[in-house]
Amino acid sequence: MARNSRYDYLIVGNSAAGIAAAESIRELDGVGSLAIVSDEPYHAYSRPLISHYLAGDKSAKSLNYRENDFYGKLTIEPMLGTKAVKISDGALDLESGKRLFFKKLLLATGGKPFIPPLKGLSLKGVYSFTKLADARAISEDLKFCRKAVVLGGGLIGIKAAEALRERGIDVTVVELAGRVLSLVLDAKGSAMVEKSLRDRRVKMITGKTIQEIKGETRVESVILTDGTSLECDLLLVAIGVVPNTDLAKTAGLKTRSGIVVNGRMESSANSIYAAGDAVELMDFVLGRRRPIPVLPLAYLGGRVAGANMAGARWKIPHVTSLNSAVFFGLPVASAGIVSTDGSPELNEVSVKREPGCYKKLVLNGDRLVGFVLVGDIDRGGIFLDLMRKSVEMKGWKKLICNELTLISLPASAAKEKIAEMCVP
Amino acid sequence: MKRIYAKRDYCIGCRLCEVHCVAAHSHSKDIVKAYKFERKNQPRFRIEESGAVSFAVQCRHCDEPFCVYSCISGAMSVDGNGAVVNDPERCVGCWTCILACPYGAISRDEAGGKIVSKCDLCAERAMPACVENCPNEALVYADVTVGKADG
Repeated sequence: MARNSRYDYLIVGNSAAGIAAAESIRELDGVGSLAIVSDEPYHAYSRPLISHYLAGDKSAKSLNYRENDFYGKLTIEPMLGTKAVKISDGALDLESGKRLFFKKLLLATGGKPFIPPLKGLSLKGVYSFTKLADARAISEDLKFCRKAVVLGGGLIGIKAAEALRERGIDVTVVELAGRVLSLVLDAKGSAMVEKSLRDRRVKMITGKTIQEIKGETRVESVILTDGTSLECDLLLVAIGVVPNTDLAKTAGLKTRSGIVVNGRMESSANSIYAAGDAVELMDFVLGRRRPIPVLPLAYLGGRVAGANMAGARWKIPHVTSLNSAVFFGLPVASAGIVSTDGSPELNEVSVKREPGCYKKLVLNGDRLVGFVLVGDIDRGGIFLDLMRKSVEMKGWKKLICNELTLISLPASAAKEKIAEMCVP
Repeated sequence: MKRIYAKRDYCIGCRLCEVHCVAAHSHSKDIVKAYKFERKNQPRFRIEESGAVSFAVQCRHCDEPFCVYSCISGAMSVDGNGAVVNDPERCVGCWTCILACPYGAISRDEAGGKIVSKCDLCAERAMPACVENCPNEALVYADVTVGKADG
C-alpha cells in the first residue's frame, strides 16, 4: 500500500513506456519521489513474450522485463495490483479510495484487447490474449482442449496460433482480411508466412470472421460469417488492441482513438504526459497521427516523457511502424508502408531468392518509405535508418540484390556513419 | 568512453580481427582449438570491403542505444563500462534489435541458440582482441571525445 500520498512523479502503467519513463527520470533526478501504479500484480514483464509462456518455452519469471531489484535500485515505489480509476485536481484516485497527489503524471496505460460484440463471449474457453493473466488462464485450461480457433490473423493471433501448435493443439486461424499479417506484410510476405503455418498444420480461413459463439457452459463451436460452423473447445479473440484511454478521459484529456500528445509526449493537460500503446504518435511516413502499438516506440515515447517530466525539453524522433518476429523459424521484419496499394507516387523494388528469402523496398521517388524482409532480415536496421533520415538516393535495387553494407551505400547516405566509425 | 575505431588507410582486409574475435569468445581462447574443435562461434562484427577500401564495423555502443530501447525482453542493456551487451539467457531471437541498429552491427547467431551476436568490447580483456591483434594497427581503442568541447 502507498506509504505517502504526495509524489513528484507518478506513473500509471508498469510496462515498456512506464519503465522507460522511470529510467529516464532517474537519469536526471535521483531524488524526487517516484511511484509506479499498475493494476497487474506482477513485476514488469514483457507482454510480447506471453506467447513464449503459452508455448511452454518460458516460465512466468523469465518474462521479466527488468531485473528483480529494478524498483529498489531506482528508488521506485511499486504499487502493483493497484487500479487507478480517476484523475482530478492534481491527484490520482485509486480503486481503494486512496488519493495520490502528483507534480507530474505519466499515463502509460497501454492497450486493451478489441473484443467484438459477439453472442457467447462469456462461455468457458473464450479468452483474449494480451496479458500474462490471459496466457496463464489459457495454459491452465489447455488440458480440456484439443481444438482451438484463433480469431485474428495479425501479430498477436499468429504468435498465439504458433504457441498453441507447439503445445500440440489443433489450431485454425480465422482472419477477416484476405491474408494473415495484412497490416505488417505485403501479399508475398503473407503468402510465405502462410506456407510456413500450413507446413506446421495450422489451418487458416481468410476473408471471414466469427458471427456467433455456441456452447452450453463451454465453447463448442463458432459460426462464421458465411454460415459455416467450426468445432472448437478453445477460442482466442486476438483481433488487436485499442488504446486504453479510460483514465485519460476522467481527466478530460484530448483523445481520439488514442491519447493525443505532442512531440514532447505532453497531453492536453498541464503536468500530464502519456506514452506507449495508449497514445497516438505522429507517423512521419504516413504524415498523420495514429496509435502505433509496438514496444520500441512505447519505450522511446516513455523515455522522452520521463526526461521531460524531470525538466528536459526532448522531442520524440521520427517514428513509423516497425515489426520483427519469427514465425515457425521464418524471420520477418517490416517498417513503414509495406504495399503501394496502387498509389501513383509509390513504386517498389523487390527480389525473391531461394525459397524463404524475399526483400522489398517501397519508394516514393528516391526516398524509402517502407520495406518488407522475409528470411534474410540481416542489417535491416540500415534500411530503417535510411528511411527515418529520408535519405534520397538512386540504386536502391542493388541494396537488396547484393549484401547490404554501409560501404556500398552512396557517399551521401553513409558518409556520416562511416566517419563516426573511423579515425584518420 | 573508449570505443573501437578503424583506420581505413591501414586496413588491408586480412580479417585477422574477425579470427581473434572468434578465439577470444571461445571456450579455449585458442585460435586453432576454437576453429577446429569447438562449435564455431561467429565473429561479433564484420569487415566491409569495396574495391581497395576495407574497414571493420563494430557496434558503436551508442550513447542512445536504440537496440536497448527496442529490446522486447530486456536482454539488451548497457553494462557497467558503458558497453551495450546482450544477455544470451534472456534473448529470444526476435531480431527487433537488428531492425533497430542503424549500423547493421548486430547479427543473428543461427548456429547457436538463435540469439543475437554483437561486439561486447571484450569486457574481460584490457583491450578488445581485434584491436590488440590487428597486424597493421588499423584498429584503435580510444575515447575520441577527449579534448572536445562537450563529450
